[in-house]
Amino acid sequence: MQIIFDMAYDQQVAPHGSGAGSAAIGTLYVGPQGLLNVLETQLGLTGREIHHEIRIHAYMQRMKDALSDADAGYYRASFQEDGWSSARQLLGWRDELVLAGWNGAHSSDFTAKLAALALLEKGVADEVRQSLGDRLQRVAQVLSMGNQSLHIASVIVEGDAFLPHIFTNLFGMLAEMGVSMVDAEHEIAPSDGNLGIVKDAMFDASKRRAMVQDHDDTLVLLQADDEWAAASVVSAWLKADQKKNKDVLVIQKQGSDVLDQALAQSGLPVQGGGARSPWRSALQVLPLAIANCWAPLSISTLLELLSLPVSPVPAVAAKYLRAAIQHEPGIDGESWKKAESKILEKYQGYYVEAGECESDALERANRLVREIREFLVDHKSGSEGIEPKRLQDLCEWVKQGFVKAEVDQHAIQAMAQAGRLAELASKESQPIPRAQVDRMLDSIIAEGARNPDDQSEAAPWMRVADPSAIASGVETIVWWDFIDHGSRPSIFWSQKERAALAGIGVELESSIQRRQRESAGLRRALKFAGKRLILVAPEKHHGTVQQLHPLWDEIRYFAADPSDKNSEDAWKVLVQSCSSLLESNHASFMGRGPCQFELRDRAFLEAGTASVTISEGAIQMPEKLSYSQMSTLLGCPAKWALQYASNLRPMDSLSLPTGNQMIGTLSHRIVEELYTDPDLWGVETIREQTEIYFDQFVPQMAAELLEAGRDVERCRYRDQVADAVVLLVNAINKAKLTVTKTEGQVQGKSLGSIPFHGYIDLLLADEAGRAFVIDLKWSGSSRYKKAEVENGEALQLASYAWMLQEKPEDDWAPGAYFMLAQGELLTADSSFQAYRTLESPLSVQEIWQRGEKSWTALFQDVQEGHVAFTGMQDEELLNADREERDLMVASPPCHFCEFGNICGKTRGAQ
Amino acid sequence: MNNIQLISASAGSGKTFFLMEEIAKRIQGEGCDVVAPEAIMATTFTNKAAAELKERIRMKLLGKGCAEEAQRIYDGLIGTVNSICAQLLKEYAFEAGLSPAVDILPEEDAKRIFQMATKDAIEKFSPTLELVAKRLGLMGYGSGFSKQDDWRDFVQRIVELARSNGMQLNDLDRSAQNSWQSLNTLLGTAHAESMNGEDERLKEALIKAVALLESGTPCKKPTIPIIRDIHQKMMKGWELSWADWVTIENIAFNQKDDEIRSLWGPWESDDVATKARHLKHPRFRSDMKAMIEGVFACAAEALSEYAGYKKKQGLMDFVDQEVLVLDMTTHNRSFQNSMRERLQLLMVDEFQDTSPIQLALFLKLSELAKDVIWVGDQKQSIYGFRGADPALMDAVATQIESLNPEDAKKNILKHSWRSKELLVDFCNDIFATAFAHQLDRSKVCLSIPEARKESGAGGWLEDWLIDGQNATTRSGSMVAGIKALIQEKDIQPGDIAVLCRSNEECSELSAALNQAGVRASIAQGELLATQECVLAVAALRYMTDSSDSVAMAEIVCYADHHSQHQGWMKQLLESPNATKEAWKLDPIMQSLDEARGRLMFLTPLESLELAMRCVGMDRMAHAWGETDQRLSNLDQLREACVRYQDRCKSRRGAATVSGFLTWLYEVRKELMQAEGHGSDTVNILTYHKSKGLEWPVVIMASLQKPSKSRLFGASVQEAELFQADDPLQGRGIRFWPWPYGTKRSVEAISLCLDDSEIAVKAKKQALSESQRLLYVGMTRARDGLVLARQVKSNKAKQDWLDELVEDATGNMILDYDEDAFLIQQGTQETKVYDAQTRHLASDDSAQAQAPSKARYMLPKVETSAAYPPATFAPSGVSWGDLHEDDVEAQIKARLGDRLNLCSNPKMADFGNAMHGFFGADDVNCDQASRLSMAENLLKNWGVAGAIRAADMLKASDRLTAWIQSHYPDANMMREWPISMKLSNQQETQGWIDTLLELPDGYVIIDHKSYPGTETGAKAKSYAPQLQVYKQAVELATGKPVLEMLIHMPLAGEVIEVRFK
Ligand code: SF4
Repeated sequence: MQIIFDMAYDQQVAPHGSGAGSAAIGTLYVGPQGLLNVLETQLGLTGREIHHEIRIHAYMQRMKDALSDADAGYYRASFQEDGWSSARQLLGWRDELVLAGWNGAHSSDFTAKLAALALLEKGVADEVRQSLGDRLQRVAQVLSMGNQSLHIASVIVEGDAFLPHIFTNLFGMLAEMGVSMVDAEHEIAPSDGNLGIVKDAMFDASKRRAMVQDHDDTLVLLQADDEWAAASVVSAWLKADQKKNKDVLVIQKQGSDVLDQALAQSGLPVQGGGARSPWRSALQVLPLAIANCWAPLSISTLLELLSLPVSPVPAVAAKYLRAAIQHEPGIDGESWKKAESKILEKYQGYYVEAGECESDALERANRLVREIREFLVDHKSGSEGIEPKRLQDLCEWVKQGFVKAEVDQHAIQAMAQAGRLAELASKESQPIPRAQVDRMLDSIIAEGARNPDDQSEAAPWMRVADPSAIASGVETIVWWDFIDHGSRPSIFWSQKERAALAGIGVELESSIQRRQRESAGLRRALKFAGKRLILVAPEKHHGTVQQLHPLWDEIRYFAADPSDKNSEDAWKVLVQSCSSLLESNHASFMGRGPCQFELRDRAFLEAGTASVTISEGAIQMPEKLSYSQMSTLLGCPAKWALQYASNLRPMDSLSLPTGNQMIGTLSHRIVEELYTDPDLWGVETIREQTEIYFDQFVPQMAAELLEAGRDVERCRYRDQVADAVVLLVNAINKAKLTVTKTEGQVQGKSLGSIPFHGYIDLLLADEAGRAFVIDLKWSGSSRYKKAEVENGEALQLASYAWMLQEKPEDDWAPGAYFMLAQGELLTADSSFQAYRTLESPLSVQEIWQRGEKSWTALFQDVQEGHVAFTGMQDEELLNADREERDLMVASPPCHFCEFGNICGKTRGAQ
Repeated sequence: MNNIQLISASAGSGKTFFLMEEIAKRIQGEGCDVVAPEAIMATTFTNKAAAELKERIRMKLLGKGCAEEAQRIYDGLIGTVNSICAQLLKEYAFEAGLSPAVDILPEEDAKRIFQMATKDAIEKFSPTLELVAKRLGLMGYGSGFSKQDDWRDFVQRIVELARSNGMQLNDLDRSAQNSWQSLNTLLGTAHAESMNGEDERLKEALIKAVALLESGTPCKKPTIPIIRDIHQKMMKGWELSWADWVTIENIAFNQKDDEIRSLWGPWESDDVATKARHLKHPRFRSDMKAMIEGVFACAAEALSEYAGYKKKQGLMDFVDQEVLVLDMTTHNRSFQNSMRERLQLLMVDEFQDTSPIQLALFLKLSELAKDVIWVGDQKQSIYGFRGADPALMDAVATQIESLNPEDAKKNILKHSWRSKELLVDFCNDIFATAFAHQLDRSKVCLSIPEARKESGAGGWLEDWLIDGQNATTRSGSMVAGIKALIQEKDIQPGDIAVLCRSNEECSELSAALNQAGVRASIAQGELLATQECVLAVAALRYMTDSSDSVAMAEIVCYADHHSQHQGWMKQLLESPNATKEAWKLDPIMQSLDEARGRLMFLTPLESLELAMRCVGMDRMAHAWGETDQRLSNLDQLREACVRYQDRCKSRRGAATVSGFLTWLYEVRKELMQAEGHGSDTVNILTYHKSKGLEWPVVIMASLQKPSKSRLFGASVQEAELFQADDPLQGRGIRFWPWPYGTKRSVEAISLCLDDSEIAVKAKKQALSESQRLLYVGMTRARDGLVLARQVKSNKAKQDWLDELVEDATGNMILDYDEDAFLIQQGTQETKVYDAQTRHLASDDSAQAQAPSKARYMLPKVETSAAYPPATFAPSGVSWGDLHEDDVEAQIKARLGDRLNLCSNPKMADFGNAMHGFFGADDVNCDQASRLSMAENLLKNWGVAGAIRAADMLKASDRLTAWIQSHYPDANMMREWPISMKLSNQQETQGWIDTLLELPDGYVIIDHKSYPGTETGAKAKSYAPQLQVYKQAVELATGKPVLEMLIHMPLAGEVIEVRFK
């Protein structure tokens, strides 16, 4: 077999000889890893791959065992801080040394760092000895024993830069065994034009330097503001002359969705090649499941877990639980429990449907609920760490989620990662602290995964990820992402360390050598481009501004003639801007044409209208009505129609209630609880009782307040709520009222023919048995509600009064808003004996009548086909119109409206 | 300090050029020892600056023929202070006893983490401080302009200041005492007698007053609700805040309000000091004292809790990094030794912007470096608000210069390589005077070098008087001026930069410009409000959750190529269910539906991109016009997603689409549209952001605003005496809490404090900073400079420019005449600079026209062909065109008995072990080493004991024997690589287990460790794979494949697979 070796050939190499419709046998392009594989195979040294985390873990164990040794002083403190990361870092250094030929030997010249490494190496586990260097050394060792038969006829070593010591060593051994070793210096493909000028200057110091010329596109830096423009140009260019594409090589380091889209739209094969990423949805299950096992609970993390496309909580169950925490942002409260029973019922049904008998189905559904409880509600781990067993169980739970989802082998990567964490956990006996779990998880997840759907399609052109993988001449090279991808700095070894290592035969690669090789690799893009080199450089990648590839510095420099003072800026003629190419339908560029272009039709997003007309009677009567529907219609008939008639809903997992909304619900619940059992407290103990309830309900309804660092806020809320409740109770007592019902539903009346219903926060009665209503509000300011009462617009209170009225001659129940945060009772009825009774221009009855009239009239408008977007109308005109029709004026609820984009309100002039 | 070469580089003096020369000289060893490129440490303030610096050095080195050195620069330490510190801490973690995993705490999380970390300290102090904070209005209640300070923020702020100034616990103690004593002294003696009766008196007064009001007693109208509010508060039993007391003391009455006024008694007076009784109230003093001391004490505990927490979590912020590196640099021997070897040249750019702790670090690092260059300009120190301390900087500079006074003179760059002569002179004259008290003229004034004598001649000034009636007229007049400039001066909009003081002013002005048809660079408002982002986000939402019908409606509404786009609203309202169903039939929706199934494998960013692709987002951007801006905005949205993912990473959290969406809505107010750029765009930015940049024309706006000194809050106090070897020694913090909540100015307290030494000093600092900011602004201009002053009620207002005063006399330096600027320089004659004066008013009649923009071509859409995957593995090939019936499998040879598996191994691993053995076994070797190879392979593949090693040898022996007898002339090749590219461009690579080369063709043998008995059927199933091998061999060699054999070592059979 013939091997062609280059340090860069572990990735895809091109061109490698075989064009379409051809094949080769017995020839192999390999880099270090590939070479190792061949040798290991031929020497019978293959074996199962050991994952890096397992190596880290084993090294960490070794470090721990050696802690008492004097030489461990070097790492002791760091190890105690963070064993995992210390092991990872030291192991990295160790691997570098082993790759340089170190076999663990000690030397008296060693620095503390080297001595520590030598110490560890003495008893290191076999699992650790699996790095590239270890394996190469093993191969060398076997080879040195002689009498091995290799089936390698020759090795051609390409690339003219320095090879690391271990390879020269290895090649020496191969040569001794009779393998023919050939050093191949690459030919430089001859070129004309600017490309030739720069190449001459770059590769042949003896040539006279010249300056690049205008109107020559053999060497082009294609500059684009964004990836879209660059992709348009590249795909149009590739499309323009497809026959020639077999002579094109594309360098592309990272997959580009934008380029692929442009290629696909032009009917060309896509590049694919998306990167490995730790952020794929399937890989989030494990970290989210683990994040949820710690106390205090993070409610937003829980929501994320429940919103994943695949998770150990089955989809329908997740939906119920999501809804529950959307209502009460906490766990194990009323909503949560309700969700659990719904899950039980639903899944039992599913299982029965699937053919199980009732009792089996019930048992299985029960198991599901139990499992959810176990992993999401019960036993949260705290600062002491998580029991290894529990961590293992969690990993199992996560794995099982993938099985249940019946996803195909694509989920294997995610399951494997969960398995590896479980394996690491199984090696521990003590609770593992959170920081270490996070670190282990980091190492496991960091490797990420590829998107199995993201495949390169077979294309006539060749591709490589890096210029150093170009193996011979090609006519045109297109370098897609000609931007600086950063360069890993070399590990620093001091002179003393290098000397000590050299003393025992370990040759560390120097920065100079490494950089030389790197530089030679980059220059291959020029070396091998025969006719044309196109460097594509979008200014931004994923919206982040990029630096040009460092090779550009060299090209710029070689584009000038140093003897000509004015040629410093000569490189500018190499730059071509994509937008200028796309602005003027250039038929041909960079040697190709005509390119097929088109203009996208103009489109205008119409400004929103103030109303639409639809056919009469199209909008149906609602089946039932509540105050909030009514006020929505009064505020903006279109919002009402979209929300209630067309039933438009946003997705449900966007946000959780916090702040005022959350505390409002919590306070309601507390008041409800207090008045459900009024015997538990008296005026003197009301405060304590409130606080007891507060603490009881917070985990269920306001869990975020339990998060670390929120204590002061929680105390403030507790105080505020207690203040509010005390003032509320005082106000109720002062008015000599008793609470008869909390959160009571009232129904039985109809508006027009539509049944009307509602919930009354507090229904009260005075000594004479007359009904009173209090509605609780938590809001930052009482200004708006105050204005509502003073303007005679307190329709909500009036609606309750109306519903409570059994006979027409009955009194209208007086109503009040109680502003919890301000401790203010807002009412226009003096029988409440509020601090100040507000003045309302209308009586409760009048308010209701006006409201009723308004609803009827506005609803009629809608039914007649006139749907008004009040927020889009001139407010003065609108109010004037309402007044003229003697209808209630309400300001459009645009601030709390989901439809701003579609109605045009938030669209503005664009 | 001796080795520090401090370069004073005024604005535009060619600093970078100078630096490059210096570095190149050293790398080449011109007149000095050779410096290795990897032994350079250079710090900059931004990553961008670092990248530019590297690029410049590389160009310089390439130019000198040092290509290799140019590449080696990447191994040097060039970057921001923090990236360098991070690298050092990682490399020297063991030396420092730290975790090598440096997780940087993201700035946006700092507050959250601080709260989590310091909860015990806060909890400990909150019972006392919360009560006091309520009275002082330090609860953080409210929002926007009416948001109170929060005492806990001060705890954090003091901790931050202490950390960035290297302060210790005793420094905080001292600071607490000083803060309280200085304030208490200035407030004067408190009332000795207890003033407890005051509350009762007030309550009585209020009750009477309210009763009077109820009975209709006259009272000034605005006063009534004030009285009622406070009364109500007292009735609820709530405590009054000190802001309430101020309100009471300042209640205004009318003439006829005597009856109520009389109730006011002690709080009613014409004299501010007399009625401000609360200032002398012992309770006020004790509140202030408790707050000051409490916050400091709490900060002291928080300081160590914070440190402990971060340590435990393995978290670090920038200051921690600096402190740790400073600590290593000062105390750690092995680090010092290593750095002495490693650090041949230390270069600090923009040293005037360093924070105190950074400065200390640089001083210490300089001791370890061979050669040190610091470059900067004290006149451009404008980051006081970010913790830089100009006074400290001055002290350091003075010290360094005093060591080598001769060098110091040489190290001043004297030439202007930026501005035209007139502008250079103008700035020289103004700032030489303004900075005279602290800087020598030579450090301020530049001259035009010989090389620029011609090109640097000329320059112009303009004096604009703009209508400053309100924001609209202000922007309007600016627009008029800018338009005039573009017309008259023959310049492009992109040549102009307008500098404003605040971001708000920037957006106001750019809105006005855009309205007038001139593009402006500043972001025009919320990113998510743009129609391109609405559509993109809607697509993402619908893709994630098909029940999101709002998102669906948005797609239909925005995407004109949706089949139901026309009249969608009407249809929706008329028949909601049918319409929504119809919407889903559109290809856009279907592609999103289809994409939903793939979400599981995507990252949030890929999901967003896929959603955008499904709605044809980029083509929509072309359809709507303003394509550049829209595409930039979409890019900005992608960038936001990258940022979200980064944030998740640093929080060690998960990143999900729903998390991204939640975050997106959370921060929507901060996500701004992309900034425009290009020759047709006027640059609008703040003075602070303009630093380091230049434009042909600079317009200075916001000149009406005087600087503000900050007396209240927490700020650093310099040490009495500067010590070079311990530059942070003796510094302290002054913390005076503002006791009146959101009430912004209280005359009474101003009277007490404003003339104090502390206040005067604070004022002076503010003044210096504002002068430096003006310097930075004015020196950005190359050709023309415009001072845009405001005229309000016929008076020109340029309070900020008026702060350019001569220190000695307090005289204003700049004066104005029609068509001229006048510069007063002490006793010298007044200098007159010609400057065209423009009186500008907003021109409403100007027709707003949308900036016309080129439209871009797009590649023609073609129906996409289906392409096969680029590569395939032979083992993964399916039957495809091949049909099972066309294949037959027959036993070719029985090699011997069945071999038994001993345990139940993982078959894949077992197969690998067997393959490994067949691939390497040499039957001629000695038995022992063959056995050991077999055993090792079984062990390495984790299937030890699955089969007896001897059986493996047996299998190999009998196969070899069979081959030798059957194909005596064969040349045997094992594990033979093949590669093939099909005519449809698909590529494959693989290995043939054994390939026999015969004179007239080839035989392929593949080993399969199948343990079962259905060997025939099993062998047949490999036909497609064998087919690929066959094709490859035949293509590559031109010779036929004669036989395809499956060798089943366990069954001891060789089976021939044949195509009929
Ligand atoms: S945004 Fe305003 S106008 Fe539009 S639908 Fe909603 S409430 Fe009506």
